[in-house]
Amino acid sequence: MAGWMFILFALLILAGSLGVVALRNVMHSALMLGVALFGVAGVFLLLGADFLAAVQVVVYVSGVLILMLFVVMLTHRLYDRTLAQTNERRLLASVLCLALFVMLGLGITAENAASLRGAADRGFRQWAGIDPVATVGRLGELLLKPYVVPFEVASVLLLAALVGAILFTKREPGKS
Amino acid sequence: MVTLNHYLLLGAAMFAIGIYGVLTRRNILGILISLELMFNAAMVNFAAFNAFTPDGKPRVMPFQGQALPELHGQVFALFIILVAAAEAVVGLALVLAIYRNLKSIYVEHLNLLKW
Amino acid sequence: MENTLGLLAALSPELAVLYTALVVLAADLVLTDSGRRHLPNGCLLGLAAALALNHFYVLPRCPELGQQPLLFLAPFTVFFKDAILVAAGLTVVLYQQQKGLSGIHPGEFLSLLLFSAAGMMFLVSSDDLLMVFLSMEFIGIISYVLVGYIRDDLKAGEGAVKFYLIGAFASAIMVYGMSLLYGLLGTTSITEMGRLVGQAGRNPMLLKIAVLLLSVGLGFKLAVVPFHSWLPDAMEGGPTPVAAYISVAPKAAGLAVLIRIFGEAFPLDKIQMAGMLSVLALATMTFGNLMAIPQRNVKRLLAYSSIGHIGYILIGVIAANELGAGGILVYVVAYVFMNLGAFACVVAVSNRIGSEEIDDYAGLSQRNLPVALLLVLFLLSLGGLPPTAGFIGKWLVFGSAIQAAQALPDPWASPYLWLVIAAVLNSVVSIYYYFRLAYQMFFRPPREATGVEGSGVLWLGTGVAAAATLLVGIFPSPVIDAAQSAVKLLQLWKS
Repeated sequence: MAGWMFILFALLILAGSLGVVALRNVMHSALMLGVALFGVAGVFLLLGADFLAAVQVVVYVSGVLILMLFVVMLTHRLYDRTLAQTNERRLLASVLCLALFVMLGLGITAENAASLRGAADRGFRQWAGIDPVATVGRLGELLLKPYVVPFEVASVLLLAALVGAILFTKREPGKS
Repeated sequence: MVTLNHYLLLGAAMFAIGIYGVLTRRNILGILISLELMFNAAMVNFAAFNAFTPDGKPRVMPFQGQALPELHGQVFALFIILVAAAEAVVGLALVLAIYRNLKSIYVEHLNLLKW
Repeated sequence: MENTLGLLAALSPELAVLYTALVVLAADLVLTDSGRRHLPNGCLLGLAAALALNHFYVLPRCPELGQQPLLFLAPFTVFFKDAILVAAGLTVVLYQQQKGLSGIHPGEFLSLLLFSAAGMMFLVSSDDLLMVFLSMEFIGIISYVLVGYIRDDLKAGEGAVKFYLIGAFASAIMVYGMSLLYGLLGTTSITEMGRLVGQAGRNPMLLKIAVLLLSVGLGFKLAVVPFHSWLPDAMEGGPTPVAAYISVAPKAAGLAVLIRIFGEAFPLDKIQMAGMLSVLALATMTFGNLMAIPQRNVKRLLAYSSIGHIGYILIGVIAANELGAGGILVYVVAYVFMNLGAFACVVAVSNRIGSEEIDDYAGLSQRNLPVALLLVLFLLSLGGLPPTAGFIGKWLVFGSAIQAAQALPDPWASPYLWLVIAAVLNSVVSIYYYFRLAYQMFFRPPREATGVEGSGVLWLGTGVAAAATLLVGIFPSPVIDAAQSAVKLLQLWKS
């Protein structure tokens, strides 16, 4: 069961990711990003990170993605349809990325990488299987105890990002 | 049987595809969208490394005399979501500001500053 | 409860800066225009309070306050935080004096500046990669906003967008590297990782890839050569005080993390990356200095020169000894004063002439001799000539590489001596383009006859920077001693 679910979500992620970089229209790219983000949320569920999955859907898919769609629509112009959306480095970039993927894959599957992780990879077992364990309470405790400093820094970061975004977009009084 | 390596390879594929998008897109929004893929790849890795342990039991971290469950990977992923959201907000605001002045969001139209 | 109080005490300088930022942001809403003029003074007050707390409260209590989750506190971090606070204070002075900037949303600008200073202090204090990532993004996001602050300026917008795209790309790569490190070592604490890497004795390919990806993020923050292209654009496009700030403060904070990552978590000999880092250092200093030669814009010239300086500083990391780490600390202090001082002169000139082109500096000595003389002093220091602070920094950093080479049976087989030779040659190149500017100021006739005047506060800031540059250059021992004792307490290259 978990295996089939994994295959389903992995296919969603891969199809979404390829769609993001392959489709011409930015609007379609953004929608494909939504597919990939949903797939990632599913993977989080498989990994027992149910709170993370919820945050992924609430913040990423329905927050960041919607914002992106707004900006895509606000900046859309007719000539976007006729202009090339990618530059001439396509071939070079694809070779580079393929090489990167092969290198990462070799590194991940290598025996000694698993040995540094503490045991042979097959010995690695998942402690929270398909049953999502309620991690919300534990995360809350962690965030307010050992992680309280990053938690507070993050709140200031959001304030600063808010100030910055308003500065860039707010209309000056007296200007149309 | 889905092992840790499957998740890691999935993350690596997302990461490589995201880099491809960043390198080839001419539209600033296209680059922003591809960047999100890269951040998500890191999040998948963190969640996967958090879920798989050598003995199949959750790790425990000692903290000031208490033993709290080890969810470092999930906490890290949570902060990545937060940072990516904040970064996207500022980036999109910047794109709107550029668009208002330049009426274009293509990278090669940004050519005032050279050398 | 005690733990909470200890945490608050340990973070009191950061909290002072954050509170000042929030107060400034709120005060901006209620104050009238005449009241807003005092906002910079409020910022300076807050920064001075933070500096006092940092130096006189936290520094003596470092050992007892040192054990906080995810944080690292030592005389080493106090030293870097001092430098960052001074840089932020001088930037506030520059902001107050820069024409055409100080009137635009002063509350927002100053609070963002202070927020980013707090972010840099958190970055210096990070013991966990989570904190490193978070505070680096914090600094990054604010820097993009500050560069694009004058949003109707096309150049500013362009600089900000380029900065943003490269910055977000680098941080995405960096965080992926962090995720691999977490998986491989089971922790992201710098101290813990150092222990594990020291024990393991084996380093698989994936660990090297992960460290490489992590260094991309750091390399971006420091503008090391393949990731440098944002810096000149952001500095030319952004307002001059912001250019001054981003050429100094984020680099100081990034260097603190770099020293701990390559000194404590992943010692260069353990992960066999000294060769790669040497190539990067060589490329950074050579490229930065060569690209500075043809520049027509002073801000861009200083941007490329700051890339060159990072190349020199990296030698101290590669040398992997305490002299090098201490030398970097001294270099950072010297760099804060000389670069911000040079930018203060740029602000003084551009306020009057309204230009930052090198040609418009012609005959500055006849129009305003003090500005020209001060600028020459800062250029001397940037070029690394005695008796200035820049010379002391270079001397220590280069000396550390020579010391590292002497410890080897065959000194010429290692990159150390070659790096020092390259660095000295590069310094000669840098003196050429610094003096081209000085030549313009002293031996070319002025285009216009009007004088250049600065206001009292700007003179104060420039004077402080000049005095510090000279004092550190003539009486270097207190700073060197403080730096060396701060470094000795770290667990660098010990495992």
